[in-house]
Amino acid sequence: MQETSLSYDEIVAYFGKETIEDRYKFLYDKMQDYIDATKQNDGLYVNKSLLQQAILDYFVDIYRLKIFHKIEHINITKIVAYEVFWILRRKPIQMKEAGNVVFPNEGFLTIFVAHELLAPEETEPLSKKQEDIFLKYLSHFNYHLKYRNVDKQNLEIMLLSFETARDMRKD
Amino acid sequence: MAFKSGVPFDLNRIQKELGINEKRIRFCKLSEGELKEIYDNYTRNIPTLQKIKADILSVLNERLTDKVHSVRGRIKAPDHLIEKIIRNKSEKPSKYEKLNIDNYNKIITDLIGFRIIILRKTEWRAVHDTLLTIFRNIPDRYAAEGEDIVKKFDEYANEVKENNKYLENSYHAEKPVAYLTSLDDRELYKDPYLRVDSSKLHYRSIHYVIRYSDLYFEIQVRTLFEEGWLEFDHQIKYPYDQKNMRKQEFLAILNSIVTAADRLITFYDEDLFLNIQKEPLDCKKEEAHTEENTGASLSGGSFNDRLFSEFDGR
Amino acid sequence: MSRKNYYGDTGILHSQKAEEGARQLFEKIESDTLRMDILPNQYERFSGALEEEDYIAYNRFLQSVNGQMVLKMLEEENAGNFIKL
Repeated sequence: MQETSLSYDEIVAYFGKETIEDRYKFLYDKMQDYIDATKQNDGLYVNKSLLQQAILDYFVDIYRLKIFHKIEHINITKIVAYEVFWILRRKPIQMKEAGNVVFPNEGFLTIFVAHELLAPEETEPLSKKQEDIFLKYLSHFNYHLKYRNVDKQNLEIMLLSFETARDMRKD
Repeated sequence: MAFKSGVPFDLNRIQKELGINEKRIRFCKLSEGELKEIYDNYTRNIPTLQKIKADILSVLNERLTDKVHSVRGRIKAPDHLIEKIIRNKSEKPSKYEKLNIDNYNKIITDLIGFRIIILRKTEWRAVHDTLLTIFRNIPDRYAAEGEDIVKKFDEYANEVKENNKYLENSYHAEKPVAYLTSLDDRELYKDPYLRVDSSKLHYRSIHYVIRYSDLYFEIQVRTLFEEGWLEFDHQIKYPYDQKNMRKQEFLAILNSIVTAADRLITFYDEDLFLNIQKEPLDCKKEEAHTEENTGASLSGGSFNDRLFSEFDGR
Repeated sequence: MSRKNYYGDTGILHSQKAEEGARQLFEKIESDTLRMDILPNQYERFSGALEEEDYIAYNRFLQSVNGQMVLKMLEEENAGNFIKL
């Protein structure tokens, strides 16, 4: 009878303990910031076990990518796409008894993606018109996360499309 | 530096403890007997030196209290005096050529040394201006390169002791010099009564040589960090290990940390810290969602507010 | 939250809870409380037949944990008649 589970040692050895820890801490704090900023500490919290699992699932995924497909360097778009996928799937932001908000993970991920990836890199602020357009896109993205089929590859190309359009508009 | 007074002269001891090269002893052309004479003469004069040190310290403390971190003074240990003579006979032959028991106090300028420690590099100026007033600043009297300093010393021998007013009659015997390692700092040290010297590696200090009664004394002004580095440097390098390459490298790295520390302190500005949210570190990490942190490209806080209200999970 | 700081090595101080959670994660891994689920035969391309095209996949498979287990089983079956790879 073959084993159905394996130690994570190989994953840890490949990426390094610090990398994995840092990713956990980074995302934990971002999620907590989200809960604070939306003033929902009474209703929401970050579930450690779920986040831990999401992080590990993410790294195992990336590990397979690197080993199988021999991809040396993974670009940010892919990283964010994979993270979004696993966070969405594991839903580490959970409701407490008093909570009444059903899509905190989707909400968090929309803002996360907005900040991390989609904001233009120059320091010029967006105009009101640009903000409106951007918000409209993000609403659609949020809806997609809530109701539509989400997989890593689709996410990746979705994010890449936005980036490409944004970059083409420069100069 | 504390030393045991009354220790008899012993060239072997001095050579061993201070790591003096045999060749230099032979080269210095002073016999062991002559060195002993200087040693004994100096030792006998130490009580006088201590009195002078105490007087100057009290003046410096009085005039500099709110301008500096601390002031210290030390008298050169007799062993170190002998070592310095032997060393400089080969390193500075022209200056030390004619040194003998009668004139060593006219050539060696740091029989008494004072160290003024400042916290910020920028504080040097207040110290400098004060020192130029405590001791007379007469630029014509600055010793020039190659000049006969013994002759110069004798020229004012009577003046400096007039009416026993040693402090009032004292003067700056050399142009103050700022030892810098980075010429970026040159701007900071622009002054008509200060010259800049960047020849020393890893050494940053401002030196003053004052003529006071029958001797010269030296004042060094440096930052607290620099002082820390120097003390450590001396401890691990002297007397035997001055050429150890590994130590040199270690000290070089430590020195750059010291330079960085001094720079940071100089750039400290109370205002920088006024606008940051004061959150206790253990509840919230530093990079909280303040307006500054949303990624500079999102238009300030209001867009962020819109984001958080739009996507709050409902 | 800038993209440049993405990889975590930002020098940002993390909250106590984040630090705690990270520590706990590794305690679970090291104590074997948390283990990675696997499906047997994860290497789809290895069909079981040692053919030219599959040779690389086969070697990669052998290097993996599952592959090592397979090799061990084969060795045991062969009762010691094996070649060290």
